[in-house]
Amino acid sequence: MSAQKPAVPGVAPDTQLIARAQRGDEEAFTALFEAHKRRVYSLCLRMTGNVAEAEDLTQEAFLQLFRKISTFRGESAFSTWLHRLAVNVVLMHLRKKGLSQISLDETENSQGDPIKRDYGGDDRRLVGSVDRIALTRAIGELPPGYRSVFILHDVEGYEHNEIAEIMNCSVGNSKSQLHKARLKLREWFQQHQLQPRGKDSTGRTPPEGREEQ
Amino acid sequence: MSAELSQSSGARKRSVMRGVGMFLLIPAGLLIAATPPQVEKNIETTATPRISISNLSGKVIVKGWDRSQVHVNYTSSSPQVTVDTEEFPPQGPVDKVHFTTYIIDHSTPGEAATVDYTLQIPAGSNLEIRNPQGLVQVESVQGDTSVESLGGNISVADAGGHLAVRSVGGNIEIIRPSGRVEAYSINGSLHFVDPATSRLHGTTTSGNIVYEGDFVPGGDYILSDYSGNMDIVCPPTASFELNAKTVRGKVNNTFPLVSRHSSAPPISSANSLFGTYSTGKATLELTSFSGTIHIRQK
Amino acid sequence: MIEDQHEEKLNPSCREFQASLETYLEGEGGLPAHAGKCPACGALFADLALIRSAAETWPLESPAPRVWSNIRARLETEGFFREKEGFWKRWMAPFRLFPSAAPIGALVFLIVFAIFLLSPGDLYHQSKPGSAPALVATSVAPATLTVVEANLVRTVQEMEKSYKTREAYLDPAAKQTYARGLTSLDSSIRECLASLQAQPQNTLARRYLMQAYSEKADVLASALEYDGR
Repeated sequence: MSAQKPAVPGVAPDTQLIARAQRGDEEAFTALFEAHKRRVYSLCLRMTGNVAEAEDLTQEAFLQLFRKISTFRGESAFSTWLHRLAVNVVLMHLRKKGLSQISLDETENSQGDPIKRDYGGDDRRLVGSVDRIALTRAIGELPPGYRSVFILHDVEGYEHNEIAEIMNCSVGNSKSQLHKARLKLREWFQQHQLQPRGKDSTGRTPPEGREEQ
Repeated sequence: MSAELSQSSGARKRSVMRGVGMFLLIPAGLLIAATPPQVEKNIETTATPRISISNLSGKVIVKGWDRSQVHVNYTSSSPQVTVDTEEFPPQGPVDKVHFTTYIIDHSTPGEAATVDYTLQIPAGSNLEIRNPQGLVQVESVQGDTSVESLGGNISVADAGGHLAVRSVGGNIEIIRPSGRVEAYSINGSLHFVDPATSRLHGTTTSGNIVYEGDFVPGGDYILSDYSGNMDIVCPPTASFELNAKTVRGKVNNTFPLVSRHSSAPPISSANSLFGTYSTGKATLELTSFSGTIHIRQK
Repeated sequence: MIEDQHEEKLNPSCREFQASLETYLEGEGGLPAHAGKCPACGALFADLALIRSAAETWPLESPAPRVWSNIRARLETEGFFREKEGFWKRWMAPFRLFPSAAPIGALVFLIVFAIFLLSPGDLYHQSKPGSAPALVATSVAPATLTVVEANLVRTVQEMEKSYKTREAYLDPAAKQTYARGLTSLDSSIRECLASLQAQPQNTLARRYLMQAYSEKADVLASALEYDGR
């Protein structure tokens, strides 16, 4: 992964903790959880958009990890191993829910409305509207396949070849889905910036920059 | 002369009446201006929409009903706060509705940034509420429900789905839940009444925990407090395995427990108790640091 | 069809630019002058870069403490936690290589320990610094934090510093609620540390200590992110 984000700074090296966890030391399990919980939970939350589901999946990912911890031999970084495991848990969950028969090799428009290719048709800028709340909402509106690729690449820092492997698709397809996802997001931001759906019945429009509240 | 007098008197009367009218109109106008903005609307939805309410302060009261419709009524305490309603998709029955309270003028004092919400929502809705300050009451919602507050009290009755409730300082009351329950507070107390769920987890630091009701066979009930007391009141027909531990507190139990898998007395020390009551169908894990754990019959 | 018509409106420079858009967004290859000349392509690139950068810096969120409680409960049920390695186990570790010798080793240890306890005077203080028997040093030393716990404490302290700078901007009600929560948690932490000082092997007290720190981190994170909602 190219943009691996660090775990909690200053926490004891994973190798020591793993060795202790392999011996059944409860503190080591706690410490491993503490060190990696934010990253795993955030991934689950972003992929599902639902707190309850994200908590369940975080739980499931860590349980799977701890059950397999005796087999960990350090061939790859522990965080990479855990993260990949968490991604698989989430994708499996989404498949079970039938949300993402995420075959990315499907036809171009299988993921929702057609994307306008007229990128240049609208030069309205998105100044100041891409904050955390807005991004969460916008990503929540993406079709599952687009969402997965966008999160894995732009948020989690996976490379296209890794995504292709994880999602069982071609590299080209991963790239194309990512591009479409970004364009969809832009479209979403443009719509919500310029045509806010929400007006209260007094006719007032929410204030400028409302997403930043 | 008399006619003049009469005319003059009439003019005076009209003038006085106009004065009185104006006098009455000014406060009436002020009264209208001071009436808090109240909004009422209906939104046609699917049977299981996702509803979220993100408020700043005020009451949020939500009730599930059997219609595929959201009926919302909200009252702002001042024109300086407004509510943004977002509905998805734009056409057809709505699947997601977000209500978000915004402050227009950030110099608005906290007490003026209050919005009270009352909603009826489809019983199958998934519900998410964030209301830092103020009461939250939810009733008869069968989908997953998540409620977060900072200082407000939370009461949820007859929830059917996964229920996650969290408040830093508020008390939490959960009545007759039938789905998985997770309740968490730092200073607030937790009160569970007649749970019909098989998974219940409650944690508080300085609040008390009261559990009133029976346990579902095969259920897991994990309750933990730090300095508060815990009171478990259940019927004599209950069946459970008990694992109660404290660091510096006490365990008081009135049930005749036996040791697991034998009729020997339960394992007990000054601040812990392990044992089985009846056939031990449910599992109770109760922990406290310095509080007292009471387990008693109803 | 409509899309094709739109595409036809694009001039060759726009087409060329947009075909390589992904490369520019990945920072590979310099941005061509076209982006500065064509407002539509410039806006497109700027917007996508804004989205890309927002995604990269999307802050992480913490799960509720119940997530760990659930995991812990499951691990405990499944028998993952063996007896915590206290002094006794650590001391006995070399004997694990020779399992049959372990009881003998234990006996030898007990005899040595008994002699040690029965010997006149305070051997610990009579010994030269650093030469005190490990047992005495361990059992009388104040409850110390593990490296991990110490790091968690440091993280919480850092968060607390940030909170102090932000506290003044919170509305009074929120400030009061956070203050009460943090006071309770600080009091828990003090008491747990005192308990561990008295009983270093008390696993429940250590669990409460870790839980209090973890909850404190959550409350501080919530306070730092608090924007009125």
